Amino acid sequence: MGDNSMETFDPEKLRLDRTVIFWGLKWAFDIDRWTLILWTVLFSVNAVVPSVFMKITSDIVDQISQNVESGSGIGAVYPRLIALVCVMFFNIFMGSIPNIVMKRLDTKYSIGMQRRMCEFMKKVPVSYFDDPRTAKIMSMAQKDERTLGEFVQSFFYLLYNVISIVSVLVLAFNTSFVLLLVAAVFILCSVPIGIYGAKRDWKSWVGASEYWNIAQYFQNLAFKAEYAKEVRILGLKDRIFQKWDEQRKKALELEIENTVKTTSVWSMVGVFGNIMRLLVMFAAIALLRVGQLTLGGLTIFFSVFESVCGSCSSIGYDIMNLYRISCDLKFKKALFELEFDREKKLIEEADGSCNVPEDAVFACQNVSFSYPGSGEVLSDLSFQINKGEIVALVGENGAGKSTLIKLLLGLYKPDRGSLYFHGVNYETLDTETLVKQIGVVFQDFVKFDFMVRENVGFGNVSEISDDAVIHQALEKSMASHIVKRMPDGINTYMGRWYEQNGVRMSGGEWQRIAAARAYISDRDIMIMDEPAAMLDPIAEMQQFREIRQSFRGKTAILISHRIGFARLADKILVLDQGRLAESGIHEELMENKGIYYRLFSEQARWYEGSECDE
Amino acid sequence: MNENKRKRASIFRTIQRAVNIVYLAGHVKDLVFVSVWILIGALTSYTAVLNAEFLNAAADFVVNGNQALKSVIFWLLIWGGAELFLSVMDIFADRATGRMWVQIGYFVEKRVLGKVLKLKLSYFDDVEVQKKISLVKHGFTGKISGVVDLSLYSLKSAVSFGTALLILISLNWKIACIVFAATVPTLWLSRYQTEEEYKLNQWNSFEGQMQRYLALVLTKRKYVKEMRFYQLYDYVEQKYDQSVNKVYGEQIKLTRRFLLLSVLTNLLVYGSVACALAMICMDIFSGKSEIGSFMLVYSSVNNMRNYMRQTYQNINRVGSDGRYLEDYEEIMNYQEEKICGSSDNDEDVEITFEHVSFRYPGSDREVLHDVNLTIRQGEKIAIVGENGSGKSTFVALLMGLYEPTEGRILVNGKNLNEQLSFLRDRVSCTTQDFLHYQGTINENIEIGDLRHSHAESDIQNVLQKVHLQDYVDALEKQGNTYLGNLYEGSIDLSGGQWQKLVIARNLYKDQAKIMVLDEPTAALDPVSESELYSEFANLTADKTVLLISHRLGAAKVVDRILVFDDGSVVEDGTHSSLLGRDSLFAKMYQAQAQWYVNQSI
Repeated sequence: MGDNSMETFDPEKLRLDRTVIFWGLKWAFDIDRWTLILWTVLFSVNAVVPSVFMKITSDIVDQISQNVESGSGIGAVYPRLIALVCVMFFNIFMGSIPNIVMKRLDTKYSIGMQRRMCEFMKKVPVSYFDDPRTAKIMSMAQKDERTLGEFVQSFFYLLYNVISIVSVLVLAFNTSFVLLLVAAVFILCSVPIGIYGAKRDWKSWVGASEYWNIAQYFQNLAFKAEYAKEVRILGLKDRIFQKWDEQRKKALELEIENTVKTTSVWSMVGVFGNIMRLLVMFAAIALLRVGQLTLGGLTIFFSVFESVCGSCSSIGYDIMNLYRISCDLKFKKALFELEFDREKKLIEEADGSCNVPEDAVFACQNVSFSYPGSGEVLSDLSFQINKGEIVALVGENGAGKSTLIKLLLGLYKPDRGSLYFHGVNYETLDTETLVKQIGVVFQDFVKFDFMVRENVGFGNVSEISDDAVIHQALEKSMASHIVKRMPDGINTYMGRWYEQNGVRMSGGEWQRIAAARAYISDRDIMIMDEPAAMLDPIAEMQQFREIRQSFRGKTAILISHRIGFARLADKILVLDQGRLAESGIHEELMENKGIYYRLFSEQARWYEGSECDE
Repeated sequence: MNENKRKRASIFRTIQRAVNIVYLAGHVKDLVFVSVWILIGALTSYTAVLNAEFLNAAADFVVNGNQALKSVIFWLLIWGGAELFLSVMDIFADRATGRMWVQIGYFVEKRVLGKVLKLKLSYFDDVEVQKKISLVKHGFTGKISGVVDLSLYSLKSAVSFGTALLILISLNWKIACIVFAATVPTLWLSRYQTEEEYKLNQWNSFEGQMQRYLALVLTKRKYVKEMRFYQLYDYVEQKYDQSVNKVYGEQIKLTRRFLLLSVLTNLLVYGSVACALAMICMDIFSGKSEIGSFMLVYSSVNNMRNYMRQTYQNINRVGSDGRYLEDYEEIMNYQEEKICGSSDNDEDVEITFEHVSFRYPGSDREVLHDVNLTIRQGEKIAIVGENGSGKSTFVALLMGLYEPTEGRILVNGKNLNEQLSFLRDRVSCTTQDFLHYQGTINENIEIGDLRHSHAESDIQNVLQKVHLQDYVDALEKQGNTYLGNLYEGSIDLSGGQWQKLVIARNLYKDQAKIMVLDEPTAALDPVSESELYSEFANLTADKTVLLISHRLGAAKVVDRILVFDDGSVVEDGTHSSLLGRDSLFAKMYQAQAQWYVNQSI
């Protein structure tokens, strides 16, 4: 993706990108062609209706005036009257159908869009989120899932207004050349005015949105329950109010300026139309005099302007809207066209995997890794974890422990070196194989605003509706008693993002429920990153006990700042600044007097001098 | 859902409330001005009469030639002039209304924000209040200004409707009657339909909110690890599809329900229009009316129908949007935290809990039960206990965030309520779920003590104390680096760094007499944790300290330990005295210590 293709929405340079528009329309067409065609037809027909109205009315007026003059009966007028009423009725009826059709399309587009986004999310390398450049494209492209619907809509509104103007011009041409000329001049003048107005509108909107975003943050600090306590303890109310007011006032000024100016621009088109109409009516009187215009034609003269005025001011807005949305769409196009340059590393399959013994669950050979734009987090790491081993991963904050876990889960690919799972290179593995065998608790586990059942069952979606399995997992993670207290048991919603009756949990409670994700369906390999950070000492001990008992015969990797647990491990790996500094069992490492010794004794000294009697 | 059953607000009360807001915002003059413009705009219906006169003159002109020229031009100027005048008027009216409403919207938002910032904390635990507050947040300020707008516009449309009706009556009263009668059923239908739509929207807003959340889960980085590893995309996407389809289904159901009825009522309306046009044609043929009357009837009938519908809908909407004004009034009447008491003196602080019990609002579980204790100046206290034993709630009560359900809390012998200002000024408190404030690093520390002025070096000082100085100095903009993602160029800190920063924030309030630390080391590695506790005495000096921690080794640095169990203080003593007997503390301590002390486990 070239940098210039990534330009953001800038109201100043209005340029519609044809490839994006075709791409969007094609996509919409692929999702549901028949509804789209139906909608196009309905829209076009409706656009012509106002002209038909004018025509029929003028005919009726003509007929009445002729018949009154010639003294013939009223009967001849009835068919046209009925036609007029039929068109009115048709208009109302047809007016309500596009609504239904549009809702249908909107629904299909939202789903279609989200589906495509999902397919993308499934395969985009996780590291793209860490790279500021790609991360920006992604966040821009993911902004709105209704873009396609809005795009199609704005495209059709433009089409609608263009068709209705054209049909009115045809009618004007049929009536009098003078009318056509004046109307055309009016359109040529007022469309640019409309675009100018729309430009102003968007510009101030774009300008104000930055202020709005910041103001919104401060408003949230005040409104959200999770901040309420801190706001009061720190006495932040004046600070928050002032910060909000600062931004909100700037937005307000822009808003006022904008409302005043844009409404003027819109109304100007109306005033301008009125003046032109007055002028053209003088011409009409002249034409009437020389017999080139009938009374009915006269009615067309004045209604044409009413209709054109409306369409003209909307066209400017429509064009602007289409431009804005096609800018959003451009991001989506760029996103979906991203090629993940998975430089298929030359996998030394034949020889490489031979070196790895079969019973090694995880094997790391000279692995190095760095996040985009930063130094190496892991350097030249080699180790092996065998079946049935419990491994403690130890190190200071920032030593690379959590990153290593992400590599072992296949979420990141090493920059150099090779990783093997059961003797198979990660390059040839799919996540499926890993998920089936590994249960994991992340340090910064996600607190899904879903039911307890889902928060636990996400460990293995195929068993999400099996109550017994969920309960069992909760039991193992010592969360049963928490769930028992909840109003709807495992079907209780957690968090209040959308479900106002959701329950709020403390950190310790959340941690237990999230840990159940790893325990579900009894996997052979367990990875736990800081599973006890928020647990009380008793729960912590129970957890370690549980790990010791239920992990017999299983492979496990544990990370914890509560370093005493490392004594449980069959093997301790000590990371220091991305390197494997030490490895061995507790006693060996203590004798070594290296990093592990230092970490352990730093914590142990707080418990010294209070030997407990067994 | 309760909202569904909620009645419309009284229209009179609503208008009264809205005008009151306009008055408070100081926009009465604007309101009068706007009302006048709008009412002048109501003359729109009348231009149809001028148009008809012009058409009559034109017809005359066609037949009689030049002698009628004067009258044609006269009526053209009158009619065209009136239209022009009205469209110029629109510019002023639109400008004035636009400006006024934008300002009133700001005014209302400001008042609500100011209010919510001062609310008692207990309101945030009440689900009903939360619903109201979130309603207020989601675009309700627009509704408030809308109500006044709507009332004015219903007046305008009522006048326009009246004008059109009078025009029709003057032409042929029978036409007026027929069209009027035929329009009533559509009005009835539209009222019914708007009410149903209101209900549907209430429901939709839940689904919409959920859809927004699901979209975040599907795309944001925060969720990627779990979503990817556990392969949750299909599951969450299905949920999204279901919700979108459900909303669509409900909307279609509603539209279908009304489709036939609306076709029928419209048939009636257009039948009456046909009758009206036929009747005026007969009048013209019989010489009772002139040709201009045809166009006049045609436009007046349309005007009358439209304005009748508008008036009716506007009035209805005043009623349903009035509900937002009721909510607004209710919120403005909620109780505020009363922060009173002197805060100047530098005296010591002694806090006493007397038989304090506490239940969260709307819950019948006692989180604290009969707590009795005194905290003297300079005491170093550790609070320990299982998850959910009431430790954090105890701190919240001590900070005066909640009032005890039973018993009382005394600060230097006086009730805590009357000493809130004094207390908050004297305590520096760091909670477990501390605020990751999206400002600069310096600001994050400054907010620890906004009441006192500080030297610039104070910030360096506290950063030094928590060993964060080197890190901050290495940043390009040092202390002025923004944290979070709100501003361009922001960075984010790791969990451990945040925790250190928050401890620095706490230390920044150096005049505090009491220091509260809730789990200050949960995210720190053993070395950093150990550093903190080694320097504990130095950092806390002669302040009273309340330290909540699950890492019981730290209990060594304090001289008193409170053990909470299921809401009660079950043990209170020194480290050695509690370890010496068969206490809960000893049990917990040994659970942790065995990993470090025993030779074999």
